[in-house]
Parts: sequence; structure tokens; C-alpha cells
Amino acid sequence: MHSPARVVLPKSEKNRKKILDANPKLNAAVTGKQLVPVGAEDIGVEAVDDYTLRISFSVPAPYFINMMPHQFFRALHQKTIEKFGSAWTDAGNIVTSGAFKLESWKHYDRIVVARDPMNWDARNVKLDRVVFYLLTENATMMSLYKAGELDATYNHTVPSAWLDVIGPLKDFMDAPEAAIDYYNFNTSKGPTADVRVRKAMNMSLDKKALANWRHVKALTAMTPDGIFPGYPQPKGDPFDPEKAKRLLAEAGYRDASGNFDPKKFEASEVELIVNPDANNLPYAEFIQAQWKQNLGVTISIRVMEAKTLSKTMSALEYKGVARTGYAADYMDPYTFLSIFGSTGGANNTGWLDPKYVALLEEANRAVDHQKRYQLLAQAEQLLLDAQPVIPLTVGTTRSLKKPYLKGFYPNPAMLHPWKYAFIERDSSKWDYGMPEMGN
Amino acid sequence: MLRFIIRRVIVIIPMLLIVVSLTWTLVRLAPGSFYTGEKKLAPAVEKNLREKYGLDKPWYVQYGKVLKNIARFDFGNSLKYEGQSVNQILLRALPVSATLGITAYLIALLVGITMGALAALKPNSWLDYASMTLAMLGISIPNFVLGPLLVLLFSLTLFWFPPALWNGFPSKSLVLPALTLSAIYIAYIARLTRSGMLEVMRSDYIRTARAKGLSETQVVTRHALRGGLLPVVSFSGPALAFLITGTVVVERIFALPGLGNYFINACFNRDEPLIIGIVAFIAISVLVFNLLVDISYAFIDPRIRY
Amino acid sequence: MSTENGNLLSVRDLCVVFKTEDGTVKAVDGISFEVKRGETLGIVGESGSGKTVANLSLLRLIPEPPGKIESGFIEFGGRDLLKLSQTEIRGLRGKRIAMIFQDPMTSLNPFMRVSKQLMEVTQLHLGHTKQQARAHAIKMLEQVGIPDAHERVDSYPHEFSGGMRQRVMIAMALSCQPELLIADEPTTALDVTIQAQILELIKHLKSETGASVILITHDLGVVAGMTDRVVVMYAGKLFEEAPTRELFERTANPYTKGLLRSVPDPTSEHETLYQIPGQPPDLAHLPPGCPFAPRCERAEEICRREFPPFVELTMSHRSLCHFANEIYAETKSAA
Ligand SMILES: Nc1ncnc2c1ncn2[C@@H]1O[C@H](COP(=O)(O)OP(=O)(O)OP(=O)(O)O)[C@@H](O)[C@H]1O
Ligand SMILES: [Mg+2]
Repeated sequence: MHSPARVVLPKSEKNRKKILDANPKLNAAVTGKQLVPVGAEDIGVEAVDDYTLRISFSVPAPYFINMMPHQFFRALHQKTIEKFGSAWTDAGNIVTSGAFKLESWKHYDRIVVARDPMNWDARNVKLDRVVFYLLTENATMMSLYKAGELDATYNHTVPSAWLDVIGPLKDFMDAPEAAIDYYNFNTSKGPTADVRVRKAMNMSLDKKALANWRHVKALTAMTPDGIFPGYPQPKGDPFDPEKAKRLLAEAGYRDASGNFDPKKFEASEVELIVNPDANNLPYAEFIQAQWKQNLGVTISIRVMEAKTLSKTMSALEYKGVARTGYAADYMDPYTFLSIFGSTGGANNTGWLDPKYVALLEEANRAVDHQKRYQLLAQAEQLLLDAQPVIPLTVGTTRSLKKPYLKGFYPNPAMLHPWKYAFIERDSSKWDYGMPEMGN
Repeated sequence: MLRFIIRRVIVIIPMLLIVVSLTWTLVRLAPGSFYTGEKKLAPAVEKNLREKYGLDKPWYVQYGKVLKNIARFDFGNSLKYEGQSVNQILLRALPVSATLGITAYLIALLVGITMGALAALKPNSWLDYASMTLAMLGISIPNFVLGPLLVLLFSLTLFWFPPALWNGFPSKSLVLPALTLSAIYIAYIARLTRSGMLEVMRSDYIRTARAKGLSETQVVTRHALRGGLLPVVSFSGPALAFLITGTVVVERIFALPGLGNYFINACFNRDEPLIIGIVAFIAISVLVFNLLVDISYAFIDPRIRY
Repeated sequence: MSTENGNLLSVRDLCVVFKTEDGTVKAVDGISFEVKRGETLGIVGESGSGKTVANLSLLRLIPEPPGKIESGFIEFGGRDLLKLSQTEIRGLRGKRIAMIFQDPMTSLNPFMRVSKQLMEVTQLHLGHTKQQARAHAIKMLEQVGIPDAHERVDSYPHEFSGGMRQRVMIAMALSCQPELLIADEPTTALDVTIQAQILELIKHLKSETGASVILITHDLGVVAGMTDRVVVMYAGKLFEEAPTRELFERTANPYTKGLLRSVPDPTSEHETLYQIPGQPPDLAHLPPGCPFAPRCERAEEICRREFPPFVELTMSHRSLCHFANEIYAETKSAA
């Protein structure tokens, strides 16, 4: 995910222009952004008074309110940014409005935040200081946790291979996340240009088995199941190897008697590319084995370093299938469905259906919530029918927390409300297992 | 001597040029760039970015800029850490790597020379076999295996030292990374000391020293060590190179904010100025260090004159 | 007892073995000899005959392992050196018994100034302070004929020529006025004119200090000019012992005879030099009988079968040979 350095636009057009001119990156990012169309004369954002911000829309965009927690919409101190330029985020420079303020930031080491006495609610902030260690290796984090150097870990710290041991522990925090793992199909060339092949490859995967094996939830549609209350989520095709074979036979890979013949399938024209990070490789091997077992087709796996993979994917240079994933920017199905609303961004499949785009637009014009959800669900069904992707799994938090750390709950985006967290000295009040919200 | 030093310093310039050019080419050959992410950028965004960072200019203009930067020893700004100059980052990361590296090397000298000398004084004794077995292990166990093993033993079982993190010097958190990093040097130095000492102990002038009536300790400390440790001194040059590759891994395992960690991430991020800055810095250090080793020869061995 | 009969050193039945991959090698096999006070004893023998090993044993400087002094007595100043503690023997080394070695190029520590190497000895044994030791070092260098000694004393060994280095070695060895100086082929590595100078120097210093000298050499010419008595060694054994003059005139051993014949005679018309046929024996696989038998012109059946007896020809002349008496008689008639 690439986010522009910041979206801070002053009220006056003159100042705005000055900032945009000074920062071509920001300028370009704003220009390219579709969610909040920016006109030269009116960006639709104004400060009504010292405490009120008004944002006007040309479309209803009912999901917008869910976007507000995103870091794009943090209130910032304009003078600081003007004064320090790109160094405005350094400790000592940055001005924030939260319960904690930045004390120090050492790259690859730690970020220390301390209670801000100037905060309106400082009296109710319980922790004096929070230290975030900037660690990249999960194993390191697990060791530190075990050695008692950490009170809690980030999401996704527990490696899958350890789940059997860690899973039953009282410290283990596992809750679904608004993040999905899926594979892209290259719909622009090769066997995967044929929707029947795509559907067959999807249907021949036993996602439940994958999910059970990796202790995650299977992803059956393009949106995670059950995190958007009231959303009439459609379901993708179920696991059905026989139907998959029939579809492949229809697509032309058949012998004289009309049955599917794996030898006819151009397996050399399809490969699965993955970056070797996290659990991608074991996933890929599992899926490769499923295809082999259920279709008799061997798809080779190619490992590619992340940036190379991104580049190959966005240029649609890959053959067949490529691994990717997406984390929600805000809590609305649209965050996932919008991926395929254009060919830019994260849509690296080559698939674009005007009907789908029209449905999304219509949904976003709908003010009635339920109506909007129905339209989005129609769009999602259309997407699933066209199968430009193989949905795989829904992310889970998989983090750890010491029993004495209270007021701290599994959180999909690690946006923990730190001001409520505290250390409980009385061991009778400790959390054993996942804490119930609202305690 | 002065002429020798000047000559060697001049040689550094073309070497540096080659190293930097190769690095620059490799960075350019690697697919993707610092702004490549999972989401494709709008063409207008990409164009603007390329213009801002001068990536739209012909390659020789960009290359020229790199060379000019190096000539002024100012590598420009990092692409990833906006607003931070590469020099700032180097200054911040170097003390970490240097502390780790020097501590590791001092441990290695102390332990390695002791082990090697003991082995040499009693060749084929159990002491000799024990130290050489240890040395063999040190050479054959890669540090990405040794590190976690030490962590498992000393942090997660005995709870003596923290398993990661940087708390400056001196601190308990330095112990495990320094040990991990030093293992291979301990091994090399022990072996070099042993063979160097064995050779010296057989030499005629040691027999002369003994014939004078000196005690064995005097023979070793006054007469044998100096010649016996010459191989260790010449090893110190390449050791720095080893050290730098070693810190990359060890800093990663123990999550230390040193050059190695920055370097790995600079590569993943395609942060060209930072990559080139770190590579150039390392190249210069290696070359300068080798020069220092050569100069130190002249002080250790009076027969050598430049 | 030893002092009574004027012996400074008396070696009895010395055996030194080395454990090698080939098996155990008797590098020195039961040799006995004496050195009288003020006397110069020559030890000659082909390469590998055990001369160096025998003399290193006197200072207990045999590298252990692989070497080992298996048996024998080494009586020096009334005490058995083989029974001394490490500290006691170290107190003797460099003080009462000093040694100079074959190769002056490698026998000095290349990393240490000559001054320091010289001062070390007297600081150790004579308790000299730094200043005293330094003054003494300069004096010693002057004595061995090093010009500008007070300037050159701080040089490193590589700044001296080979001959000069051997002079430094001699200065070092004589620093504490030892009673016995062992010179192991002190001139082999030097060119001829320098050889003569060094030998002359040893002779001169000996006469000044009255020390006894053991001079090890291949060169019978050197033996003739320098020594009072000679010991001939072969394959770790003492083959003949005699006063120098007698040995040259009336040897009683075929091996010595061969050695004597191989000395170039400047007056001789013959161009080709005599050489003892064959090679020195492999000490790990000695033949039964006399070890020299396979190369001996006189060897008979008995020589190959039985180890020869030590024949005392006179009070001071002994030879290891089945036919010692016969040869002794022949050489007399020849002389
Ligand atoms: N360190 C050693 N290890 C094994 N064997 C040894 C060692 N030193 C000496 N020897 C054995 O002792 C024998 C005698 O050696 P030594 O050096 O005494 O001969 P040398 O008479 O001094 O000969 P040269 O005239 O060449 O100096 C050698 O042939 C060798 O077999
Ligand atoms: Mg010898």
C-alpha cells in the first residue's frame, strides 16, 4: 500500500496551491485519488470555525464516516509542517492531539510515546509511557515476549508453525481481521484468460482444509464473512473438483471421450508466483498440492522478492496466478470491492467490467444503507462469477498479551485505544484468555 | 612510508568508483523502485515522483549526480526516510554497528588468542583437541543458527540476557549479539594463533631464547607471541569485511538498529541513496582498515619497510 | 669426583629417542664422553648422526614430545643435569652453559632489538639493572669485534650481516662468562673468510675466559686447528674418541678413515674428492650388527652380524669396530 505523505489542505486556495506546488508527490497523489475527487476550485473541505470541519461530497459516499479513523484524516498542526518541512514528524517537532506524545523515534529500534499532560483527558490516561519496538522478525518478537521484555505483541506475530503450542495459551489473542489473502489471475493472457479455467482452479481448492491447517478462517467471497453486520454477502463457488474437471473439459482440455485430460492442460503456461514473506510459501505449496491432487495438474511455484513481484504483477507480466492480499482501509465492504473498480491501484488482474463499475457507483450514490449493501452485494456476486481472483483466507490478529495488561483487546488494525490500557497489579483481576470487550 | 600511504590512499579512489558503480548498476537492474507497492500508482503520480527524484533524466546525468555526491561525501537524502540525509542515518547507525563489531572482535581476540596459544603450547593434548573442536564448530555453525541457539539457552531457558534489543554500551543486551558475531572470529583467530605459534615455537630463535634460560612463560610472551600473532594481524583486514556481513545478519536476529539492518531494508525499499551511501562507507572502511593493517605491519615487524 | 679428575662435564650412556611416524628413532644411542676444564672438544660426524641432539640434551632442550632423554647421566659441576628441576636447569642455561647455533640468520629474534636480546641474559642471570645490562651488552659487542657497538646495539638483527649476527650470538652466549660453550656448527652458514674470523674469535675468547668449548662441525679442517680432543659420531653412536692429533695420525676406525679421506687436500694432484659410499642409515631401520657395515670397505661377515665392541686402544683412544686393533696397527705402520 502506498499512501501519500499527507493530505493536508489549507482553506485558502493560494496557500493550498503553494503547498501543492511545493510537493509534487502530494499534488499527484491528490490528483490521482478517486475517493475524494479534487477540483481545482473546490476540494470540498473547509473549517467552519475553530472546532468544526465541514466536508462536502459530490456523491453521497455513505462509507465516508468509516474512513475517518484512517490516518489520512488526522488533525495536524499546519504551522509545524510549514516550519520543519519533511522533518515535521521528528520527535521534538511533531505536534499531536492524542493522549500520548512522541518522545523519541529511533529507526529499527523503538518509538517511545509518553503521556501528554496537555491532553484534555490526561487525568484518565493510565500509562506513563508506551514503548513500541520496531521489530521485523516474528521469532525475535516471540523471544522477547517469552523473556518477559514485552507486555504485548503486534498482530501476526505468532508464526503458523507455533500455533499448536501457542494457540492454547492464555496469552494468545486471536480475532478476525479486516484483511484478506487472495490470488490474482492474469485474465489478459494464457489459459487463465478463460473464465472456466479460473473457476475450475478456484473450485478445485479445498479452502476449508487450508484454513484448518493454518488455523485461519477461509475466505469464501471477496469480503470477509461476518464483519459487516447486515451485509448480504454472496458466496463464491464451493469446493467441487468434479465440476472443476467438467469446466476444464468444456474449456477444451479433454480427451476423445470428452472427459477432462490433465495432460492436455497447458500447465507450462501457468505458474504461481509468490513473495517468500510470512506464510506465503507454505500456502502456495498446499495449494499446488491441491491442484495436483484434485486436477492432476502440476503448477510450478516461482518465488519472487516483494518489489519484483509487485512490478511483475502490475505490468500483467505474470503467467497465471500471483499471490497478494489486502487490508481494509475502513470498515465497509467497499474497501475491498473498490479494488476492482479500476485497472490502476491494486487491481492487477486485467479484469474490468463496466457493469461492475456502474454497480459500485450506484451503490455509493444510494443514501439508504440497506439498498447500498444490496447493490454492493450484487457487484460482489458479479465479481465472484467472473473469478478474476481466488479468495483464500481471512486474516486473524494472532497476537499475544500478558494477563496483567488490561483494557487492551484484539484489534484488527492494531489501532489500540492506548489511553485505556493499564497494568493490573492485582493478579486476581488478570485476563485469562481473550478479554470481553466492555470490561 | 608516507609515499606508501599516499599511494594506497590514491588507489582507494578507483576502487571506490568501481564499487559504487557496480552497486548503482545493480540497484538499477533490480525491478521496481522505492515507490513500487502492492497498489499501482496512477501514471501522473509516478511521473511526478520520477521528476521529483530526477529519475526521468538520462542515466548519465543520474550517474553523474551520484559521483558528484560521493566526491563531496554527501550522499543526499534517503528516499524512504523522508527528510533524513543518508549521512545522518550513517551517523546514527554506525555507533551501533561499531560497538557491536569492536566488542565482538575484542572478545574474539581475547578468547581466540588464549585458545590458540594454549593449543599451540600443548599440541595434541586434550586442551588442543578441545579448542580446535570448538574452533571447527565456530567456523561451521552459521551465525543465524548460533544466534537463536544462544537466545534459546541464555534468554529463554536461563533468563540471563535479553534475547534482542539495543540498550547501548555497556549493557546486558550486547552480550548475545557480540558472542554470536564473535564466534567465527574466535574460531579463525584460535586457528591462526595455533598455527602461527606452533611455527614460531619450532623456530631457531625460540630455541635461542630457551637456551638463555628464560622461563617458558617468558619465552612465549617476550619472544613467541609477536611473530606468532602476525597471521592474526593480517587476518584483521579481511575480518572487517566478515564483520560487516556478519552484522547484517546478527543485527537482524537481535533487532539492533545498526548499518546492517538499515542496509537490508534499504535494499528491500530500493532506497538508492542509502544503499550507495552504506556501500561506499563500508568500502572505504574496508580499504582504510586494510591500509592500517599494512601500516601496523611495519611497526610489528621491523624487517618490513615501505 | 668429576672435579678431581679435571672433568667439567661427563656424559654417561646417554640415550635420546624420538617418536616419529616411522617408529621410535634412537637419535643418540648410549654415548659417553667428557669435557675437561679449559679443553676444546670437537664433535664430528655426517649429517643426522646425532651431534645436535646430543648437545641439546646437555641443556635439556630436546623438544618433548616427540623427543625424550631415555637414560644416562650428564654430570656437570658435580650434579646430574638430568635430575635437576626445571628452575635449576634454567638457572644453568645461558649462565654456566651457553650455546650458539648453526644459522645466525634465524637464531636471533627478528622482532627484537639486539640490545634487548643481549640485555635479557644478564638481567636474568646476573641481576643487572637496565643500565648495567646495556653497558654490558655494548661491552660484549665490542669484545666480539662489532664496530660502533654503542650505536649498533639498538639495531634489529636484519640490519646485520651473517657474520656480524654470529658475532652477536657469540656475544650473547659469553655474556655471563659460561664455563662451557657449545658451538653447534657456528660457521657452516657463513662464507669462508668470515668462517675463519669467527673461529679465530672463539679461540681468542676462549683463551681469555678459560671456558671449555664443545665445537660441533662437519669440517675436519676446523677440528684440526681448534680442538684438543675429538669425538666421532655415526648413527647416534660414538664411533671413535681420541686426542685430535692422534685421530688424524692414527685413526682406529674405518668410518673416521673415510671422513679423513674426504677432506680435500690442497697439495693433492687428484681432482676428484673421495666420498664415503652410500647414504647415512635410516635410524628407524638400522641393520643388525655394525650400523656402518653396509658402507664399510673393511666389513666382513661378523660386522653384519654382531654389534662391534668398544676397543680401548690407549687411555684416551677408543674405537667402535671389530677390527679396531688391526686398523690401529695398520695406520701406525702407514704413519
Ligand atoms: N625434532 C625431531 N623429531 C624427530 N626426529 C628428530 C628430531 N630432531 C632430530 N631428530 C632425529 O635425530 C637425528 C639426529 O639429528 P641431529 O640434528 O642431532 O643430527 P646432526 O648430527 O646435528 O646433523 P647435522 O650435521 O645435519 O646438523 C636425525 O636424523 C633425526 O632422525
Ligand atoms: Mg646439527
